[in-house]
Amino acid sequence: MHLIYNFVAGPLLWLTVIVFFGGSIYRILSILKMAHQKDIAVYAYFNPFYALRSVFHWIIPFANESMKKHPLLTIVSFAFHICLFLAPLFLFAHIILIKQSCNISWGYIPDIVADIMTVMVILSCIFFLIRRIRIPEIHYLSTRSDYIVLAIVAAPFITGFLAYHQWVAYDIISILHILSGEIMLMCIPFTKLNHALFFFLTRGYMGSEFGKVRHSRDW
Amino acid sequence: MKIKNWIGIGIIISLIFATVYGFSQEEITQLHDSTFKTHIRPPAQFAHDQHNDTAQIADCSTCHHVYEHGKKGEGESSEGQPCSQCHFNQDDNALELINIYHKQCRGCHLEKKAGPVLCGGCHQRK
Repeated sequence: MHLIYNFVAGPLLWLTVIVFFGGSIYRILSILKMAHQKDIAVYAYFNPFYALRSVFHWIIPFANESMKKHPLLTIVSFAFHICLFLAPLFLFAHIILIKQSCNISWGYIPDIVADIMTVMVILSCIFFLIRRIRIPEIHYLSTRSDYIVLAIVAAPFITGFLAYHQWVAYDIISILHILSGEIMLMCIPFTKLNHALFFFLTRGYMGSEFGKVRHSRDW
Repeated sequence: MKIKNWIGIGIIISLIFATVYGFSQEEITQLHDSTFKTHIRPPAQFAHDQHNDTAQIADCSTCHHVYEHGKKGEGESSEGQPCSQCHFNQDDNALELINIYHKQCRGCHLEKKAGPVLCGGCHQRK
């Protein structure tokens, strides 16, 4: 057990840090460079005000027409993303591990809140899966990688939930929890999860284009 | 026998009992520190004697250490003294005390590659 733990919490963790941060910086820089090469007008007409105006309208629930048309999807998506970020970043067990390794700490949420948030993430993933299978136009657009990416995101939360409650095979589940979290982080720059990085760029570009050039809304 | 002698014998017997009772303590099976007002996880399972037999720890000061000016005192130990006496004061966050417990136990387990290192290894839900 020590051997496996030391591997996933040692070299593999460092690899994750390098791939996640290095990969993210690389992807952002390369897409910025590509935008310049493919369409020189992007930067010439870029306007931060309209860019941020668009970002604002897309990070506030029901602040755009698309969200108003799909209320259930809006509620689930927002709950999912909020819980996805807050639960791992402010989980007490994570805070104490970071405190012990790096001697830095920040606030934490009660375990029961994190537990509920974890369940919400898992249920949201099930909702996204059913939606992908059952709605014909989404099913038609879905590729195998979409299902794999969904599983990659759900895995750390399912294993984390099981490990916290210590119901079955605690040691193996805990190792799988660390491993699945690392896989998820490493996949962010190189799969559709890159919307975590590109959301602000794509939204900013659209906002600037619509606001500054076409003088219209994009929400 | 005079009444004075009976009193003397009584005192001696009482002292013997008190001494034996004083040195024997209930077997420690878990770490339950009352300094913590609330417990986030169940107390760590820790069978003191069994742990020290398995880990071959004979020197009490291995865990019950005394540090002065950042140096571990040779031949000094701190049994019976709660960790919070040195490692916690009212200005400190409880996280500091939690952290030193983890450093003490988990740190050693990691170093020796023996004993639990995952949360549930010690903080078992039963």
